[in-house]
Amino acid sequence: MTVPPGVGVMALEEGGRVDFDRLRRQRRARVDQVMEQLDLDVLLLGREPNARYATGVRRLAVASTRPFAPSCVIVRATGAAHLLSTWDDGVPPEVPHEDLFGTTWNPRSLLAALAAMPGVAGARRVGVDCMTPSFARMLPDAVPQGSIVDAAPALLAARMCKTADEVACVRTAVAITEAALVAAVDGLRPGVPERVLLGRAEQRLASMGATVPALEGTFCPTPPAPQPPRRLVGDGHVGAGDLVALATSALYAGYAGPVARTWPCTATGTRPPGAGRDLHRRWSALWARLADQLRPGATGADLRSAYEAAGGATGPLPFARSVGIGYEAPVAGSAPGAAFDARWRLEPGMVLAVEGYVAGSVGGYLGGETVLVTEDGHEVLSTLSHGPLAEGWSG
Amino acid sequence: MAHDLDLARMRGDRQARLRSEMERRGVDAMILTGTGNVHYATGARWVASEVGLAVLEPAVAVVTRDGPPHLFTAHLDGVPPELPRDHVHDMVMPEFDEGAARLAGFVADLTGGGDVCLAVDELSTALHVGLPRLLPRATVASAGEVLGAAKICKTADEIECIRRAQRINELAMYDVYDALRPGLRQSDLTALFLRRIFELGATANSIDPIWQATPRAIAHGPWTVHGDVAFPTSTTDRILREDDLILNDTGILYEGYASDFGRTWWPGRRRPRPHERDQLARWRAVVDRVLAAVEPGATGLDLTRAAREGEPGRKPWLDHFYLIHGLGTESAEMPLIGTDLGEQFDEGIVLAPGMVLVLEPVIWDDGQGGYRGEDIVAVTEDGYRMLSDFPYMPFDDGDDR
Repeated sequence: MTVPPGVGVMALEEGGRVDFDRLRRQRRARVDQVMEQLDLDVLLLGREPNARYATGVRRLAVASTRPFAPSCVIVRATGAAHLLSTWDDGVPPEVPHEDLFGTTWNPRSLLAALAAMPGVAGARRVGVDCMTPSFARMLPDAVPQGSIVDAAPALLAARMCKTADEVACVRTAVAITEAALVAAVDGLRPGVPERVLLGRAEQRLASMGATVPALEGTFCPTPPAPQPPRRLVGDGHVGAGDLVALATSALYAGYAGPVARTWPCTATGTRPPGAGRDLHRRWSALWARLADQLRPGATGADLRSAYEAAGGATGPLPFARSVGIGYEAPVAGSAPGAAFDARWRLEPGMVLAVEGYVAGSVGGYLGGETVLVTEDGHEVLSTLSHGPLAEGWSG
Repeated sequence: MAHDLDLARMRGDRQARLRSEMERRGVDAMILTGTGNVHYATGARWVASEVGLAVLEPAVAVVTRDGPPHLFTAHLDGVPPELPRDHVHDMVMPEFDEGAARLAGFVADLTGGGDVCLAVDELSTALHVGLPRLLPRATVASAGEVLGAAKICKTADEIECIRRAQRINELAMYDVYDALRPGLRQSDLTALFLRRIFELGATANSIDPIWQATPRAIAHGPWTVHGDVAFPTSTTDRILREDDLILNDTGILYEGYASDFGRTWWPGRRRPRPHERDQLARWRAVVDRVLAAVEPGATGLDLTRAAREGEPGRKPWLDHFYLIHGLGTESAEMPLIGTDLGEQFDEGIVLAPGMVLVLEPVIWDDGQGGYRGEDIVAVTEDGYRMLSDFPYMPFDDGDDR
């Protein structure tokens, strides 16, 4: 039996950590099942996470939405995945050159490229994951008999249960995120600008090869209750005694690994105030209730009940999200409420980012973990200490 | 001279432009989900994220012809102070049926739900499938025309934001240039760049910084569909070697406005060879000729012709891009000049004061590499004003590091 090599970013000649060929093959098989299940002849993917999931294409990352284009076209009859890419850099070897189509500014050229793909022109059922009014008008020119089918929910469901290789990617992302949080912790001192903490964390992410964060993150003192935690790094400074929320997420091979911690900003050698430690105790109690529900069969609504029973403050952001290529689904605590949360049922292989926030007069405690749902419960993938506010801290 | 930046005035001016373009085009309401568009319409900030998350936990704007926009967001600390509280709403997720129904219901309440023209930038499938049922009498149109017309000419405040973004970007790139040595990885350069931009006041990083080690002959790859140079390819932990030709491209945001930086470097040598000095001279000649033609009333075609006169022979820009693009709340927006939309399209672009132009010619001598850089100007009443200010080392006279 081989000892698992832990997580890291080095190439290991004996095979090592993630088998990316298998990763892509297994993901593509799930996309093929979706096409089967929805009886799709063609699948037009405009959402980058879907295109990346289906093919493994590594395109230039941006921190914004992109104007819509069908950047990945999968044809059931031929099995081909056609990719919008002017070059073969970042394109997996199973996609041949003839299946690449280049950037164009002319919608007519894009339509012509679509129509020329074998099997597209005669398609009857065309799955899409997003749309624009002008593309909806033009699409019948390329696919005259095609009717539009909403493939987004089925793709999301397929993506939510992870293969072993996907879990390995998330573990790696979590470890890199933790390194970034430690870099921020090491910069904590009275008077430090929030943006310096952000800069330290991002520097650490990139230096480990994770040049694009899933989320730039939060490096902000927490306000007293009942104000919600601040999420946006601004022009402020950290003051002595502040409880500072530190949260970010690396991406490894596209997979996120969010972690959140709260650290007190105290002068060296000073013990944090008892009120801060009380907050962490409350957070731990909240986490214990959530942890009871982190098991197969529980729903987002169960998580919401547990969260509310423990007196945690929900909203406006979901406190539990499915994690994969970026984030996937708001599983619990989002604005549409408990009925919406009830639709998400946990299954083995799902990976969730779960965050809890409690607050009092001295500020708040934000703590978040990435967890893997297992056959009989869950495994917390994040391992970083909760710091000076936690019981038994000896750092 | 320092411009007295007033962010509330800037947001008010933008909203007035949107309303007037909606009026002119008969658009009653808009639902906007694109990050650059929501920022333009509302001025809201959120935690910058990679594209997957930007879609799932978005800020959404609903804009009508009267009054301030409505903003749906989870980030209350990113709401502009002047936006009335009753125009700020809980986050909505248009990816899901519940979110689509809530947005459609909101628009129906605002507009009376009759025969309205509703413009959208992009539709989740839930909205695409749901709108005909949820707003049966609405005509759904593209918001692109309204946004394009409103955004293309910038106010003095917007130009100041771009100038500041560019300044932060350039200051960070001085540090990267100073650090550049053979044996550093592309990701090491990114690490330094990201730390510096945040220390210097960037509100976000906007693209994965590019440090492309480019073979000096196209045949050496990467393979391209059109036979031109591949650019920009994504950063990895590739180790940069002594004589690699590094085409870089970075961009950040300041108050929602993008910068755009492009230069060509090497990690090792300090002095250019004669053909490299010549490539930069030709690149600058193209820029100078284009700039000599920049004034209100000139067309995009005037500019591409000026560029081609400066570099007879190979077209002096990349075939899949453009000679010039605009810059604003998107890192590339109208005017796009020199694209595959053709000469007639370029001729229809008439320069006007307030347009921001990023000139990105590329000089390429296949086998010997080339030079790519980006310089930025704002069109003024009588010409242009530079918004970028970064030297051309080491292609000019080299440096003494």
